[in-house]
Amino acid sequence: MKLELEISGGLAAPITSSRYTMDVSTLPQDVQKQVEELVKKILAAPRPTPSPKLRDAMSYQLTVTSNTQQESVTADDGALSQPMRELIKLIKTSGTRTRQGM
Amino acid sequence: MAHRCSVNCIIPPHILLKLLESKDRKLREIALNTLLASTQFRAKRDLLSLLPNPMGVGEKRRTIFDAKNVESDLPQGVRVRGEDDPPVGDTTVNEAFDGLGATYDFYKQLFSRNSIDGNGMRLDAIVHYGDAFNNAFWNGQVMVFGDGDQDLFTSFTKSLDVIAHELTHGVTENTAALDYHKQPGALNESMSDVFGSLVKQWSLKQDAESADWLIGPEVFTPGLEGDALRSMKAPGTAYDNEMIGKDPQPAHMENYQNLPDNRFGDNGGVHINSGIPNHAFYVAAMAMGGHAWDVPGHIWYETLTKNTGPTAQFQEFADATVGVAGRLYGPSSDEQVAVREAWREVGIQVRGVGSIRPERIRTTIAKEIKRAEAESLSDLRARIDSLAKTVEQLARKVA
Repeated sequence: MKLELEISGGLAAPITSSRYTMDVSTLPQDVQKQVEELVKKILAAPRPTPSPKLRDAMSYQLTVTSNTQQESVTADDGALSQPMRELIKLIKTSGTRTRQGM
Repeated sequence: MAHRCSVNCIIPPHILLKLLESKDRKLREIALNTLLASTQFRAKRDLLSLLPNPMGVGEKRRTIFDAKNVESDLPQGVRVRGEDDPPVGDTTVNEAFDGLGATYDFYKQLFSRNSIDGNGMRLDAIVHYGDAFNNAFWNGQVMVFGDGDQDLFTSFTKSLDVIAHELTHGVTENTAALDYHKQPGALNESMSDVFGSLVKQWSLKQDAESADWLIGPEVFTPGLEGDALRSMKAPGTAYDNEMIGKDPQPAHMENYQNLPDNRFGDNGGVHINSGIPNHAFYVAAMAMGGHAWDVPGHIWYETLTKNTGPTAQFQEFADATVGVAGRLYGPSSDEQVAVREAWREVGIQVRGVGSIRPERIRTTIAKEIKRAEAESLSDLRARIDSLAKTVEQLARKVA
């Protein structure tokens, strides 16, 4: 399973926009399990509804690619589910940043 | 005293709601705080929408909440400072409190605007939001400030212009309600930068010449090369380094960036193309001199609040500012000419009333009168000739 996290928007959008990738198979067993469980929860939950009133909020698009399918979930600042927050943190610390800025 | 109970005291909600109507301001505040503290945040949002201004119109009502570096559904956090509370030990809390206060005072004293909605809306801010959170945002009700990752950014409450920027998003939402996409979105961002900078200049009593015209110069860490997030004086020059790249803001329509109108394209580059109207304001303010919040600030405020709408393009907004300048300071006044020239400098030509000088109007009117007079004389001769012929014919018949 491969994960891609695309961060966009924000007060400093041109600076903070970024992309991270993570190959789950390369992670230690316990982290792999943790990531898989988080992904399962995120994909099973209803998709977040964007708020039209948000200004300067950052958006987080998670794309999960497995052998059989590809799914994406997008959520904004102030409306991230707990599993999404945990996974974003994990990807930022254990994944690879492939782009910084727009 | 009977009403000096803590927020934890057990009072039934219906009594608390009744207490909100009390004449005793302190009692109203305690009742409100108790209700808020005992209500889940989603319910709090509903409650506040039902009671848009339970503390009374015309009062500055700031409340700072501490999210304690947790990120969850908004609004959230522990109430750490209210309007009547003294400064606390946490600098971030005090910075947010003072920044909201300065912004409230700016709008109230200069434009007689009572808070975000013009009707005394509470000013709620959440600080210490998230973990190493590199952002500040407005969610339609509250302002949210992160502490920064300390690698690129420090706390976003350090910049008064950033605080005023977020609050101004609320003002825009309650007035022109500019769409957050493409040119209207860039104008929305520009309004926040313009008034964000003006709040700072007003607070420091700076004139246009001595202002730095930077947005967020304090939020970069000392180790990060760069001046600020954006420069209104010279868009595109705020930063240029290997770590974060180069400031992409254009200062002229020639360099307008057509980006995708989606999240990844910054909704059509709302934080990028805002450089163009930002620079127009800077040029106008410099041409007029003095305090930028005076004449240019009033022209922009009048345009934002009464003379533009959700779908305004740069051209329409520019036209509106020139029209407002003409109404406020007179057609072809120095102020109107300065605004029109400022837009021209960023590649937007404003035509119509703003480009006609009085001499030209007088010449045109004189020509029109002469033409009308000539036409009248000619008509009169023709009518006399026709009448004379009729009289001649009648005379012949009588004879």
